[in-house]
Amino acid sequence: MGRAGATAVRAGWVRRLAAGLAGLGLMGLTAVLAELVAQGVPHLNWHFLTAAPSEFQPRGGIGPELVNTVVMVLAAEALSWPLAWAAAIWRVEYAPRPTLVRVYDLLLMAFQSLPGIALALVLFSVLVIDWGWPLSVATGTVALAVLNWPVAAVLCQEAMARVPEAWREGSWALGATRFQTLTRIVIPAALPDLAAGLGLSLARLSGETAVLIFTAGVNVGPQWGWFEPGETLAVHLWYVRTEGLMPDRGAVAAATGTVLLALVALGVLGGRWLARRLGAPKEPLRF
Amino acid sequence: MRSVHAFNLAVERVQTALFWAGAALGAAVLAAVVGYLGYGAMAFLSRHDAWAVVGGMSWDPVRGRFGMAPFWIGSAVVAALGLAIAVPLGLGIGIWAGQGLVPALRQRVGVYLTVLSAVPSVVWGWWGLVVVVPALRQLTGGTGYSLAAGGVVLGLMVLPTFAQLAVQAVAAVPAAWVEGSLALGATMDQTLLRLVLPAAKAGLRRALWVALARALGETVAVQMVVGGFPGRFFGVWAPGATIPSQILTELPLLPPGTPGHGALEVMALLLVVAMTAVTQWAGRERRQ
Amino acid sequence: MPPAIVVDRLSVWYDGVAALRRISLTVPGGAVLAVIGPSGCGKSTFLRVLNRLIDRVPGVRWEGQVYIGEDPVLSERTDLTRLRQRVGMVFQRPNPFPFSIFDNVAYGPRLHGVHDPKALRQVVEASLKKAALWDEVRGKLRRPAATLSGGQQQRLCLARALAVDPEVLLMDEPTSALDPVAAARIEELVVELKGRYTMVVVTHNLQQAARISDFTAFLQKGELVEVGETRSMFTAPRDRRTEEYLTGRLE
Repeated sequence: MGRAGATAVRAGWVRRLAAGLAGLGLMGLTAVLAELVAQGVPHLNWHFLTAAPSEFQPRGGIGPELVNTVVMVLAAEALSWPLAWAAAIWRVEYAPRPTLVRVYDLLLMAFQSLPGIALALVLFSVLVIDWGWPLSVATGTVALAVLNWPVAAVLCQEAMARVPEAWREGSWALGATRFQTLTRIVIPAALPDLAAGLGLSLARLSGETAVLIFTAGVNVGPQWGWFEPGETLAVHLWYVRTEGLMPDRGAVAAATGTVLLALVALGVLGGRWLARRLGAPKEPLRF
Repeated sequence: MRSVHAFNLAVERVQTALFWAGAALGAAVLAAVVGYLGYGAMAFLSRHDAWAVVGGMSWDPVRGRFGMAPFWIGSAVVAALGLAIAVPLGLGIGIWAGQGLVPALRQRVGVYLTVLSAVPSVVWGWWGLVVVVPALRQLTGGTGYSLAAGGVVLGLMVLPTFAQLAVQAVAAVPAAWVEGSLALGATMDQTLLRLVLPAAKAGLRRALWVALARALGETVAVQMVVGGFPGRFFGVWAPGATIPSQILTELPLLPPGTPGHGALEVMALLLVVAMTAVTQWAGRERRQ
Repeated sequence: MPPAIVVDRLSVWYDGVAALRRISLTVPGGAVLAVIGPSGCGKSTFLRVLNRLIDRVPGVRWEGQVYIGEDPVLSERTDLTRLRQRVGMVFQRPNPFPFSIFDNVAYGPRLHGVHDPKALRQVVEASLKKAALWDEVRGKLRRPAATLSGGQQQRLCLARALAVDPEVLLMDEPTSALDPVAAARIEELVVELKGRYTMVVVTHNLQQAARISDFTAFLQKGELVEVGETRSMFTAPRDRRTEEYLTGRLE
């Protein structure tokens, strides 16, 4: 009776070292999340999730921040995805002149690598100082949309580029126009990847901080409004841990981080779930 | 028939126009950002000694000294420390999951790494404040806020991104090559060192560049633990600042219109240039 | 004199599903055995048992024994490195490593400790000559292997296998990814190398089996239907199923 070979050959030092480092890395990362959740969960309750934050007193909540985060992220996605999608369709399906494509690619890559803090500096100067927009939900939404545009454009582009050229040719050969091919072949085939990408970008925007500090502000108004200050969960966590004065700031920060983490996981896993529902290929798109 | 054709042509024209608008708007925003920074930076540099600004070791806006070298050094130190932590651990994850695991399990690890790479930077910064800074305080006796703390936080923060790309690079080495090597009498270790890692080199280099770009641009997580600029460079275990953390700290003190604001625009512009260069390199690896 | 291969009541299961059932056969040293049979009959499994590449498949289990010369293959104590050095393999699709032509052939010798540049050059040249590739790549040894044509790549893979000085050569449908001219060159090589190596060639192509082999084994659904001298089997098969397969009434 023979046994499977994996047991017959003992792993050499390279594989053992790799497994050791991998274990160390994954455990380290998991430990960070576990620490956050362990400190945050005891402080979570209905009051915390719905009440307004307090500057000096204990028992402040994160209700407005939660609303701001959800509203701003969704609004920013709604602003940036159509534009990103339009640009990506132009790039992948139409792209008339190679020189133009090269310039566009270069711009997009530069835009993608634009550090958030540089964008924060420019948007603060132009929108808030020069144009006099208030530090508010609306300004923060615009900032998030600008930040998200190149990421979304690249995601759409890669999703559509993964649709086999032979499918398009098959469609054209049947007399379909480019637009018909686009709406009936390319977009349906790209939808699963787009769903996964959307989930990922929701998660990323939820955690954005640097840009929002200077466009949406670090506090909330007495009632919600597009032109009221629009602190988000991530900014709240940053503010509480660096400048907060409330006595229970440790617990507030950990609990805020836990809620934020839940939102992020919801975005990523929700996107993947949707992608699978839409019939994603076995191997997911690599981001 | 003819009218269908005409209709199709009209649809195409509208589509093209719409897509043009989308692409042009995006490009315009980018051009505006770079142009604004470039204009502000040039104006500032023309009023000051450019070399003293970019290479000077003394930063004191109140006295009109704008040497930003300490922040370059800070950025370099923090990024190097971060990569020194993330690269070995990430390579380990890459080899372990990329060649050692069956595909179904590898995909699980990939999903976990995706979630981890989307964890907001404030969360890593929070961990730095709660765990790393107190630990360093015990260890070195200072406040604990230091470039070293920034490096540790960055290391863990970029690890999921680097590991994810490393797993992809290693897993992309065809099984036919691995089997070919084993069939020649190579052990798995020899195959990993002599075939898999060389074959995955381009992908691993790209992972390195992407991780470096993330490390250089990270603002909040580093700013939370790095301590702020103490007036001159005191070393790795002392408080310091990176380019992004310094912009974040100084922007409220040097708002647009103040004489020193241009220095922040110079810093931001140079950061944009550096990160674009790094991303370009990463893109080149990808094409190979 | 290359070693004989003796297969003794070999059975293999993947996750409990039988892939090979009680196969027994003998290949005399230096002879060529062709393994034929419909897709999924276990041909590749059979080949991969001989150099234990089968170990890579999770959930695999086996019974029986295989001897190469005097040495058992399916033993806990089998030194896989040594075994695979003795038993070279050429795969279905050419799989040159992403290195130069030289480094591809030198990969095996380097593994086993040859680092002297002069000795390496000699091994590489000799192996490329044996694989009838030398005349085409002389002076281009530093070029990436991927720049060669498919047929040349396959001969490079053969040279790579020969460079570690094996006694047995396994070929898994070595010509199925090649054009007819390139395939004919590989066939010529098999005939040329006959006697120096004991060879097992899996093939889809019955004419090829008839042209190059001394013995033929016909597998069907994991069972050995018939094994014998190629000439007698192709002219007068003993089993009805073999006859049906050879005359094209089955597949």
